[in-house]
This record gives sequence, C-alpha cells and structure tokens, in this order.
Amino acid sequence: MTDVNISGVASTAFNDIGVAAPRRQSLAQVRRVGKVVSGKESWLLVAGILVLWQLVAWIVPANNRFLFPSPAVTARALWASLPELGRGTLSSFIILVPGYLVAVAAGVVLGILAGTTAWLERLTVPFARVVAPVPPTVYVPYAIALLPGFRSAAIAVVFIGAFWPVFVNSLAGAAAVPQRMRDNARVLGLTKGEYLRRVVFPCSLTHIFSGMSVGMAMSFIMLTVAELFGANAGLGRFVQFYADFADYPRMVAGILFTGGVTFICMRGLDRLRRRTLFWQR
Amino acid sequence: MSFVVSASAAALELQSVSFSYGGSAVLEDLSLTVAQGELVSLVGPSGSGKSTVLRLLAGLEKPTAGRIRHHGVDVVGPGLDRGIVFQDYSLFPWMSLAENVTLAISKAHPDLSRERQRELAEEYLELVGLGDATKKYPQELSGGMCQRGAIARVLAMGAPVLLMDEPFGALDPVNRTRLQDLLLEVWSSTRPARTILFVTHDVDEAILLADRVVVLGANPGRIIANLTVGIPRPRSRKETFTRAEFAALRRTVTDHLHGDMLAQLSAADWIGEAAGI
Repeated sequence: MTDVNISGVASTAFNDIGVAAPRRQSLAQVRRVGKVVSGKESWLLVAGILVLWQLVAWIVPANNRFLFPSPAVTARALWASLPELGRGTLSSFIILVPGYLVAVAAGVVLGILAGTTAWLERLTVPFARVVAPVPPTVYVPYAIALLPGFRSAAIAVVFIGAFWPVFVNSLAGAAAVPQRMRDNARVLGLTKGEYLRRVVFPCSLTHIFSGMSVGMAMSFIMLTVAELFGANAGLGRFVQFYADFADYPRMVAGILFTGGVTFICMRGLDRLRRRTLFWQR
Repeated sequence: MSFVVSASAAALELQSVSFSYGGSAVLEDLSLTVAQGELVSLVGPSGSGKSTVLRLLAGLEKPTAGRIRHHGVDVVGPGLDRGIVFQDYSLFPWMSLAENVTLAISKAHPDLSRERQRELAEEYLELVGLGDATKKYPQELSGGMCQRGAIARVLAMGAPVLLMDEPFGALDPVNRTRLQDLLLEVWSSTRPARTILFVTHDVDEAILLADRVVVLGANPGRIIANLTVGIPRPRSRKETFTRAEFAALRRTVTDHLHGDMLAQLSAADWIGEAAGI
C-alpha cells in the first residue's frame, strides 16, 4: 500500500519513516531532537523575521506603506480586530469541526475495513488512486451551488479535503499490521470485530495520526478557500474582506491570526498523538 | 473451559508432514508424536524448520503434505486448546500486562464475569512474579518480565498443550535460568501435566527441561535424532549439569548438530569453488 501515490500522502508515508526512525534511538537523543524542534532556535527565527520585516518596512517608500504595513501597525490592527477575529474563529470552527471530525471518523472506519478486507481493498484502492489526488478546491464552487446554504457546502468541502488523507493512511496502516500481530490475534481466537478494534486500530494509529495531520492542514485550506467564495463571517472571509477594502494592516493581521489558530490546532493534534501513542516510546 | 482428552491418541502428532514455502522445502516427511503430559524439546540449526513445526501444530500454517493431529483430531486452524508463547511478541504493546492477560482469559473463559477475569489475570501475573507490574505496559518492562507476562497469559488460558517458540532465546542468562525454573515448577505442579513442545537452540536448556530431545537437521528440515532424557526429576540445575548422562547426552546432541552442519557445508558448491577445486 505504500506505493499509493496520492497528493500529500506519499510525503506523509516518508514522514512516518522519519518519525519512526529516531524512536529507536536512545531517549536522550529523542529529547534532544524534540528540544531543537520546539526550543529557542525557532523563536530566534521568528525574531529574525520580525527584524527583517521592520527593516523592509523602513525601506518601503512612504506612498507604498499602506501595502506593506510595519510590525507595529499590524500589531495595532490585530489588537483592534481581535473581537472580530474571535467571532470569525467561532464561525470558522462551526464549519471546520464537524467537517473534520466526520471525515476522521469515516476515514478511519472505512480505511481500516478496506485495509483488512481483500475485496474492499480491490474495490476502493483504484478509485482512491484516481479521486484522492484531485485538488478538493475544485469542488468548492459546485458544492456552494449544489448544497443549501453556505455552511453545509463548506462543511462538505472540508469533509472531502480531510477524508482522503485519513482514509488512505488508515488503509495503509491497517494493511501494514505485522504478521506477528496477526498470528497473535489468531492464536487468541479474536473475532473479526475484536481484531479490528483491539489490534488493527491501535496498530494503525501511527498512520492514522499522519493522515489526521495532513487532513487537518487540508481542512484549513478548504475552509479558507470556501470562505473566500461565499461566507459572511470567518477567518478566510476576514482576510478577503479587508483585502477588498485595501486595508492591508488588518488583512496581514488576519493572515497572522489564521496562522496562529492553525498552529495551535496542529500542536493540539500532535499532543493528542503523543499521548495516545505513549506505548511506542 | 474443559477439553476432551482421549487417552489413546498422542497429544500431538505429525504424520509424514512436508511443508514448502515459496517453492523450497522447509520440512520433508517429518513424523513426530508427543504423548500427553510429555515435555519435548526441539533443537536444530536455523533453517531446520523448528519454528515451522510449532506453527503447523498451532494451526498458523497448513502442511503441504501429511497430517497433523491433536488428540486424534485434525488440526485445521488455531485453537484455544493449544497455547503459544512466541519469542518476543506475545503481548500487545498498547495493552498493559493485566489487559493483555485479561483479553486472553476473556477468550478462553467467556463464561466468567469481567470482574472474575480481571482477578484471574492478577492471580496469574502474581504467580509469575509480576504482581506489582500488572498496570505496566510491555515497553516499560525488561525482556524477562515480558516473557513472564507471556507465560502468565498462556497459563491463564488453561490450554492443555503449550507450544513455545524459543521463549527464552532473547533473554540474558540470569533471566533465562529463572524462567526455566519457573516453567519446570509450573509444569510439574499441574495435574494432569500439560503437554509442552519447546523449541530452542540452546542444547543445555533442551536437555535440562525435557523428557525427550528431538534434533532437527536443515535443508530440508527433518528429524536426525530422537533422544530420551533419562535424568530423574525433580532436576536441580547444579546436580543435572554435573551428571555423566547429561554430558553424554549433550555430546550426542551437539555431534548430531555439527554432523548436520558439516554435511550442509560439504554439500554446498561454494566450498569447492573457494578451495579452488
């Protein structure tokens, strides 16, 4: 299954290897890598970018300054927009959360079934190979036209964006359950249901979390694209709205805020992954 | 759960069994019987198919030819009447020791209440000296503790036949010694005694534990010796190792193993080439 070449998924499979390899090293090494990833160095880069931003803002001629707001101007705009951005976040999450969660649930259940049932795998894999690489953004205009109301259309496209990575990774994980785990389950006489729930599912969790991570990134992309098309609130809508009015400080503030929200969500998912996969370390 | 034990038929029986994998013969025309309550060691070099014999008896593989029976009944697949201990993966890493053992008990004794199943799991873990570690996960435990857990699991299932595939192969000498003693203690204190087929590559271990040592040769796997161990039980480790019978038996087994290895080497073409013949 690892040869399934579906956008965003092949790279995840490689990520898997990259993540799994250090796990076999000593705990001290793993800690050191973890420290580098989330430690002072990354803040150094952030500080560097801020300084660069400020320098460029000084160089930019005065009559173009509205196009390239300085950090201070952007920070003021961000502060002033916080209530509106808060409401926008809420509005976006009403779309994001159900779309993403339903996609994860459906992707995991169907992926595990397809990865452990030969005829289901034969049925779905060729189809997935064709459909999954289609950039889900192409469905946005039609979903908005087809479905009643913007909200249901946006939930549907978020679902489509997140479903395929979760499905394909769950399938790969379920198909990759090692022979020894299968033997062990057979020796215990587990029923198919018990086998799927107590062996295949936990055994596939590494893959499932990779899929969930790609799926979450896709959800945010789909959300903001959908909001550019037809929302009256939300994070993507905020950015689009102030761009239309050439209020670039607010627009940049919106971009930064959206980045922050995405970062927090991805970070939360990573926490959940580490907590769930505690038995791997 | 109770198992019907027919007194007449052998507990385990392989009748002219052949097994090939990917076109090459792993086992050829192998016949072996193990009596009820007997502890038999299976030794052999890698490639002699000793694990395959175990997997066939467990029902995890099907023979290419021949018949495999358990108390006179054909083996068609895995069953809870034959417990297996693998070398290092009998426990699921995402379940605690107690959860692993409870899962096995819930399959072997579905009639018991959840509460009773959990109690039983604790009791068996206590029996193998893991009473304090029931909530621990396999990666938090040493290899020796994991194998204790695996033994607790297989004992808790109450199978009258135990198939053990190099269960102590990955352990350090101290843990290995302790677990050998534990196995003998459990085996000799249970009536009717369990039938055990014990695969190992350690000749000392094979003799110390077993009533009979079966030596396999490689390529294809076949029985090259079937030796009864006459050393009386209960066997103390120290006393057994100093006995003349032990030394003699040890020499016989190693001679068979070396003889087979030499036969393999001289049969190989590359030896001739390397020697420039």
